[in-house]
Amino acid sequence: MRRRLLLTAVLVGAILPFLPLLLWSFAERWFYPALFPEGWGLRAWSYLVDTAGRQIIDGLVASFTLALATTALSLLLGIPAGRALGLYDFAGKRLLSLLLLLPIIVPPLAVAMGLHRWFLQLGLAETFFGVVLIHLSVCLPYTIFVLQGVFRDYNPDFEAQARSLGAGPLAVFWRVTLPLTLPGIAVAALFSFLLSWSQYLSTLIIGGGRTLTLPILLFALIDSGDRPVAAAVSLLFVLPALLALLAGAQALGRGNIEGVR
Amino acid sequence: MDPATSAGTGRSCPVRRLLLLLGPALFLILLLFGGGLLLGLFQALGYPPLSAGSTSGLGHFQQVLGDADFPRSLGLTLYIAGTSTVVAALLSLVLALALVNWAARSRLIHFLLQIPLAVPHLVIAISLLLILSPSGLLSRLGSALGLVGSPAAFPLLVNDPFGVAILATYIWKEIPFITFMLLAVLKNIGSELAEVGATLKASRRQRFLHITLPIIAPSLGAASLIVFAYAFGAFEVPYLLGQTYPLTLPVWAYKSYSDIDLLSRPEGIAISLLITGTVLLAVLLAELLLHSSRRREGGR
Amino acid sequence: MGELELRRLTVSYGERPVVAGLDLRVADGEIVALLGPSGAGKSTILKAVAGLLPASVGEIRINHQLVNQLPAERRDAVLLFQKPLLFPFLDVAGNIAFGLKMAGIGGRQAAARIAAIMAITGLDGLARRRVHQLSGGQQQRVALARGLVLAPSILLLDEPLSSLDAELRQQMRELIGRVQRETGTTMLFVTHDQSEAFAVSDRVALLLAGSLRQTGSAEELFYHPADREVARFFGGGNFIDGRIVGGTFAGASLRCPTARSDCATATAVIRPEELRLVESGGDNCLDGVVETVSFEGANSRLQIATAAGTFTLLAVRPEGRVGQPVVLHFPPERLHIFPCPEGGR
Ligand SMILES: Nc1ncnc2c1ncn2[C@@H]1O[C@H](COP(=O)(O)OP(=O)(O)O)[C@@H](O)[C@H]1O
Ligand SMILES: [Mg+2]
Repeated sequence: MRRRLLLTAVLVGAILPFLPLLLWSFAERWFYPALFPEGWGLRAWSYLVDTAGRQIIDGLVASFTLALATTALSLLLGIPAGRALGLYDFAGKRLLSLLLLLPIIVPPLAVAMGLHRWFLQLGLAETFFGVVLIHLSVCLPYTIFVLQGVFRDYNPDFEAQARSLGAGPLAVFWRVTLPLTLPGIAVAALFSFLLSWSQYLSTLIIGGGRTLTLPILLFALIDSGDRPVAAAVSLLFVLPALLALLAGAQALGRGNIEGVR
Repeated sequence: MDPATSAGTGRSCPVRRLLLLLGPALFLILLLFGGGLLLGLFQALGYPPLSAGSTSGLGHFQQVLGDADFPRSLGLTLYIAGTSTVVAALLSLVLALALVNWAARSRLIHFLLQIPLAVPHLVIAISLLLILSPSGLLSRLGSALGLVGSPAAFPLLVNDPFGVAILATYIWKEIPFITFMLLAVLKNIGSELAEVGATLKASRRQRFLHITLPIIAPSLGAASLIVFAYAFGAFEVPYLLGQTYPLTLPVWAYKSYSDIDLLSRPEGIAISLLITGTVLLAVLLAELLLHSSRRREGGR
Repeated sequence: MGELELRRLTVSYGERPVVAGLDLRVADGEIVALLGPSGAGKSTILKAVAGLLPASVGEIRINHQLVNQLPAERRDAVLLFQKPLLFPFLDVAGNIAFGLKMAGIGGRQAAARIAAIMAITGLDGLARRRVHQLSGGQQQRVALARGLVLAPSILLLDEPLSSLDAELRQQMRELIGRVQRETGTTMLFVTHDQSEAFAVSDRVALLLAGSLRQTGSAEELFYHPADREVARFFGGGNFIDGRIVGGTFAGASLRCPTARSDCATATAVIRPEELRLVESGGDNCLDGVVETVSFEGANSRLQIATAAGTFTLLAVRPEGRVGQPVVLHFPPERLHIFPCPEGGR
């Protein structure tokens, strides 16, 4: 009984915010004080596909490529760093991990503003790579944080065992290290992707209005006051996250993105 | 910050290899994060090669700190970050304790709790706007029940002085985050140590106060700190759901930074650095608190 | 002062009974070793006694009082877990003081009791140490002191030595013995190691697959096992089938006198170290061939095939080679005859 109540509370709590988005995105006419839309329709969704189609697709592509590039770089740099921090003892490790993890806590606002001018001088502002770099300043520390935990539970003796069985360094990485840490790496990749995907202000500052990602389009839509379209884009915006969540729940048995923010 | 790092792994690694592993990430983070803050500081201080204006030294900081709006903005930001952190932490504590034996087995609960983690703040803010605004779903529901006559009669929950919608957004987003942090600790050692406590004659209440709470305190503290810092420095949610006056510090900072008048740009940077400084101060305080409580708890 | 009595105790996980119909008494001041292979249900029994698992059937009595319905914290029994499970946020003295603090005992009285127990358990000078700075043996001693300081009627110990290495285990064994003599605490000591059970306890109770098979002194269980499985558990698997007629056991050309009454399907058992190799056949001898020889250091293990089956022999010195014909002697005074099975008359 208590359990049923708890489950209901969690269920309602988790699902409730999607209700108004769904209702509004399919609402054709919905004046106060009607509790439900008086007319249903696909105007908002067809607007996304037709009228604003080009822009929305561009936004999707921009967000997606940015998140993908950021995640790839995060993993490339984060896996070795996470390994070093999780697996080995060395002098100054505490200080170093504090330094590497501080950006998780400190808001990215000041960093983006500080770098903006420099990026302007370097010609990095308003470029794809410039925005990737600013996203990386947020995503990389998080990736390292997750991977450090992954490697803390990892036993490198497997690698020694593989080497004694005749595997070269590359084979050891592909056939031992990677498969053993893959669930953790997948979680780290997901974190990084979602973090980059939901960046707004840092994209705006460094991208200077040139890099039109989905959140930036979404902000513009809210200001325009078209509720159905804003609701539809919102749903489009959460879709990858929910898909990833479902895929994760399938792949990992128990989906495991606990700890992502 | 992280208690687990203090316990050694017992493995060492040649320095050259360590440099190879850590070097690139360290370099990039130092360059972007450290460099960003430093360059921001130079600009805010009006260091000539980087500054457009004429003010130099602590001028911009003095201007911000002397502004009559500053205490109000700071107060509002602290209120929003503090309230959402405390409420989210308390609710998470209750939820984690209620779920601890169950969540380990129930995939559904796990999945449901992860939904808010995956959804961007921006989307939740929009959803709450649609629910809580004067013509939103809640107001319509009130009207259907005969409680609300018109949108104007509905209590102001969006762009209001108490930041109700902002608080609701943060609380909804952060509860799962804190809950998972607590569950991780509770699942590992919580139940075993509670059993030890029971055989050592601790009652349910005593087990909670003297075993469960001390065990989760570091994680609860760390999670709360992260949540506080995020809410203190985030722009989107208060921008969308907050009042036009006073502004939270991050909104004010960005407004100044993006002003057409380029001369107010260093002021925006100064505000963002003050935000950074406050968060660093909070981290420092938390660290000190942790150390002193460890020393005290050592006794009994 | 402490006495424990279990009557028809059954404990289940879900529907599955893991321990069934258990009867056991531990007298005041006694150490009883509950011995059994891993998975037999030993920890389950201790948890049920401590109040951490409900008993589905039967009675648990501590000092004659029925405690089935009491929660763990109200039972006068302390359980020592396999792992030390020290509270990481308290130092050594804080851990030991925990139970006293819960009982509202503080100040000078608590300090005196803590100091006394720390002296007994050899923890002097470690009061302010943080628990993660202690060695495994020290941690286990803190756990012991943490339980003892409450002066419980019964101390339940769940393989407290199994995580320690050989030398420490020996020291802890002696410590537990000394603590028991000095404090007179009644103890139920769980272990899967027979030599540990024999060395520590006054009596041994053997648990196999959730039921008690035999209870008695170490020598009784070792030399007079109740049945084949008990004999096998203690490493004595040489069985001879036969019958008892008029006070004599006869089987496979072996004979020996016995006090047991007539039985058509009797079984005798002899420990491997009691078998002898002799030069030439005679009474109570069987001809055989050496099948395997393995040198194990202190002794050598021979498998010898005979017309009555294969027998295991432990010899002090390596003797015999594979394929060698030998004569096996079964000293009649060393043969132990099981009680006649039901319906075997
Ligand atoms: N929490 C549990 N749920 C279900 N079965 C359990 C649980 N704990 C132990 N068991 C089962 O009960 C049996 C006895 O376990 P246990 O008492 O721990 O054995 P021992 O301590 O003798 O090694 C084992 O078969 C084990 O698999
Ligand atoms: Mg056990």
